[in-house]
Amino acid sequence: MDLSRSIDNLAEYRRSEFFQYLGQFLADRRVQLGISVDRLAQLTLIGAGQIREIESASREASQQEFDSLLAHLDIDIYEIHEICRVTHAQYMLEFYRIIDENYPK
Amino acid sequence: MKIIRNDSYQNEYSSAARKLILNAGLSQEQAQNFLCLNETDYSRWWKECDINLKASNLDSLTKALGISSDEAVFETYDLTKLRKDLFRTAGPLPDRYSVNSYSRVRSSSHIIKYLTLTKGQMFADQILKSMQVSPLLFDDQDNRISLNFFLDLLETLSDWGFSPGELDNLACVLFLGLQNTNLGNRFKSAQTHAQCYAILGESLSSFDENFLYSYDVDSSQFHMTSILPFDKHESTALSPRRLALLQRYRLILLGWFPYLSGLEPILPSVQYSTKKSGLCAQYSVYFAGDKSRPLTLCRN
Repeated sequence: MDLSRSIDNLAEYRRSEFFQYLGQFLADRRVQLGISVDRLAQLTLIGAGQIREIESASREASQQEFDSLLAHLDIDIYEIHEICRVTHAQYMLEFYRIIDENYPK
Repeated sequence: MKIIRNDSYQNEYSSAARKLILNAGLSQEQAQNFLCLNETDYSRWWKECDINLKASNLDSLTKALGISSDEAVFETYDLTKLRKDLFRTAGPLPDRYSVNSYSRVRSSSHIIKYLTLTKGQMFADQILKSMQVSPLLFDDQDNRISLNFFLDLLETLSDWGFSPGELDNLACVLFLGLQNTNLGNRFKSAQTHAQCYAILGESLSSFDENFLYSYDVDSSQFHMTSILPFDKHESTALSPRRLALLQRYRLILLGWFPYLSGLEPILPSVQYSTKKSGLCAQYSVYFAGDKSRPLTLCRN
């Protein structure tokens, strides 16, 4: 897997789970850095309501919003690739569950 | 910026305290003590009944955590430092986890990271807190803990509503705990399944010493026998349910090591038996043939 920054590529395997984990990760990072939603909204020029929606995964971040949030929360794309790999591993496991005779019942 | 101290700010105090308690991962007992509330008042406040906090309550909480009330209200505290200070003063591991500590935390650190990534820091903290284990334990992957911890962790997650499928996911994200470690890099460098399983065979003791292992690997297959010796695990709480959780986890985990090397996983076949010396599992993994599945096959 290359280190793509494309949100569609990153969400390729299990889209809904990816955005759920991404939202959780962004919220945790924001809190760790001691930045309020309102302050982050000022920094990124994304509405506070939209940030809350992204964090709660009730809305998918656009590519522009994603890039801006990563930049202002000091997140390395490598960390997002970990989330992507988790969804890939989950997807693979689902596949094995169906086809592999050695998969535990 | 200073907080204006009057009654209209009581809701802000409550809201700031609630967020701080959740972010820091305080237990309800700790929070009650830090806020200087009696049990009844604390319970009513936490359930958002008719009680609001006073400035003095928030002051007392923030003082205990080494930050100011302003920082709590405006959420400008350094949470990482706060948590480190808080957990550093936590008590020692319960006996249940410190006696017979034959596991290294590297065998479970990926699970904690997975929970943090997928459910949030707060959830991961609550799980560890319910087990009286500090998250700081996972700062050094060589720290030791007993098998009871791992069994309790699986059982707790199951009790907290994780389905068997969700628990299976825990066995395929080992990469989360080995990222940027020497062992992780060794697995990454393997080009074939045989190389990957040879590395596993050589590094079994890096994960745990709960089991007695023997293994054999060649270019087409890997066989491993693990025995959980009774004499070493007299204090390990093994019920049929816990054993089933452990066996299922270990079967999937063993099949998922090639994923660390960018190779397709291969689930092993397994035979379980009870020997005089302990519980035995014999795993076989065959590399070649029809079972080979390129990772690219599994795309949406």
